[in-house]
Amino acid sequence: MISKKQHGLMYSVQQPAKKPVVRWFIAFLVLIQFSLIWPIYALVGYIEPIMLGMPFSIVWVLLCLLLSFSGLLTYFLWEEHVQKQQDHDVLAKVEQSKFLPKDMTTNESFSERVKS
Amino acid sequence: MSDTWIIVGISIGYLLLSLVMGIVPGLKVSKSSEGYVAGDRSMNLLLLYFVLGASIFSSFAFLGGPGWAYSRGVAALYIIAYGTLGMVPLYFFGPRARRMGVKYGYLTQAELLSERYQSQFLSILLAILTVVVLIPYLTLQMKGAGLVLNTISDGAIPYWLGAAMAYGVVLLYVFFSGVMGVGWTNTFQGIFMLSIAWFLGLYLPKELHGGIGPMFQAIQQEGLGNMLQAPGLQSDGSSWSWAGFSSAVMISAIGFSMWPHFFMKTFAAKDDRTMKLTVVLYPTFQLFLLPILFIGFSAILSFPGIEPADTILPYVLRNMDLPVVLVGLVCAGTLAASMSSGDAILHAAGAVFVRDGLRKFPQLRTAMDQKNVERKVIQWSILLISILAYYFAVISSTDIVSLLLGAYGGVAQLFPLVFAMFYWPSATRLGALTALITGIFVTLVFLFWPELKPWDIHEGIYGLIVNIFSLITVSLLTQKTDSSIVEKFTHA
Repeated sequence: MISKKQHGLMYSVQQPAKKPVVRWFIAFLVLIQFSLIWPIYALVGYIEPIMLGMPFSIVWVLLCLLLSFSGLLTYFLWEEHVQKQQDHDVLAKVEQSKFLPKDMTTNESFSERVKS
Repeated sequence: MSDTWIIVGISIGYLLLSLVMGIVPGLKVSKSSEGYVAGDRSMNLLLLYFVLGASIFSSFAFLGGPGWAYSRGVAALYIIAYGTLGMVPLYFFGPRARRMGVKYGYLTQAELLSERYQSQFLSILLAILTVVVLIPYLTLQMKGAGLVLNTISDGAIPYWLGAAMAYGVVLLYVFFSGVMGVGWTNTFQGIFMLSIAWFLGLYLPKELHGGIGPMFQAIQQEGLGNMLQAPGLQSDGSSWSWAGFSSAVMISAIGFSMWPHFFMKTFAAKDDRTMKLTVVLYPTFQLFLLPILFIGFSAILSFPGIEPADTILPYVLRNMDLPVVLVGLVCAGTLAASMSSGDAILHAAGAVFVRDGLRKFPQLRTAMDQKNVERKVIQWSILLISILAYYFAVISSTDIVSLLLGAYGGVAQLFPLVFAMFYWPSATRLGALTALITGIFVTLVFLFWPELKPWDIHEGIYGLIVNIFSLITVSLLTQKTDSSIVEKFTHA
């Protein structure tokens, strides 16, 4: 998808359907990063409550690390799932096109048939 | 045999093992530049994970990390805070860069940037900056290795010989095996130092305080609670400001993935999945820093007043009644941390110097286009760079630390250019050049004259503001880049 704005950013060019998810994912990452600095970390970076024997200022950073790992892993798995589904759909269309009558396919390129 | 020589023997055994691990994999890749610089683009998840993980954890992590926790308390968490997401840009940039590498033969970050912005000057500028920044970085690693071997041998191995021994091994495997040598040794060194770090990080608090909980409790009871409250202390013992802490975390997170020796490993990845999964798993490597920091915390009450703070780990090892084999293993682990960064830096500096610098001169390019000539030039450049770094480490008294300090803010100035390369079609050659030059200039001005700063934030942030402003305004005012070139990147 090419941006309509003359000077805008271009992302998800090949897979525009991913764009809203990418936005949410980036928002999640920004939130994590801000949780590790002022102002969020300033609100929670105290000694109490002590958890697992460690001051909360340390536990909080570890929680953010764990959260970012879980978020990244979830996004990665989701991407893999979407990719597999797309591959499956394309294959199904290719299979389907094999059974079309010959005269319907003569003036169409392979990619056009897949797209249709 | 005396204890000292057992420890030295273990360290030498480790060095020999690293040499074998480094030389053998190089025999399996092609003799081309692609084989030497990007391992024929065949690195699997295990190798890439450890190459990226171990090369960022240098002797700073093993010596500086405990030193920070010891003298500045939870301020040391800043290292984990920037590393948590510092690698994430490569989740997006990495696969694109890799695919372009496969399609057009790129091997370095500057090759991508100079093609997108149509500027040979940019390539040469980046080559010079990279070498200028990486030599001090390498010098510090050499100093770390020399210091460790000198300390553990009670001076029997002089400092100059210690640095020469460790980096002689590094030079041999980098020279002969290129990136695959770096990959396999980093895997070995990474596993080794992870094990040592976790063992020591749990053992020392237990031994000195009875556990991690009692250790923090004791620090608090001794009236040092301010060390445990974010954002910790500054090096002079006063509280670190939130502006200082937050801006340091931000600039380091932005610059993290932009280090040339780091970014160019994307070209070595086997496929997109490997690249992405490496980024996903990277936070697990960050966990390695936690026990490293525990080492420093454990020494706060038991060994007060040690100066400089970076020597706290060797000091604890010498002054505790630890089994001699354990001390030997820890020393080898510290060498591993130094060498696993040093090898990647040395390799990248040589490759960038030749690919982005020398190759841009037409006569040299023609000569290097002959079979395997370029690889040989890279190898000899690596030798030259290691001699230069050794000179700074052992002979010269030049203050290289200030150069390196500037580098962290400076390397972040590449981020807007790399981002715009893939995502902003309107970015132009003049915009990119102005952005980089003004960004670095402002960073350096505030680094050397901090009293000019309007607010107490990291100088790199000021550079970045000017950088982004210049990139946008100059790009919008100058002639657009040919759309066929831009689309190569935006549609990569």
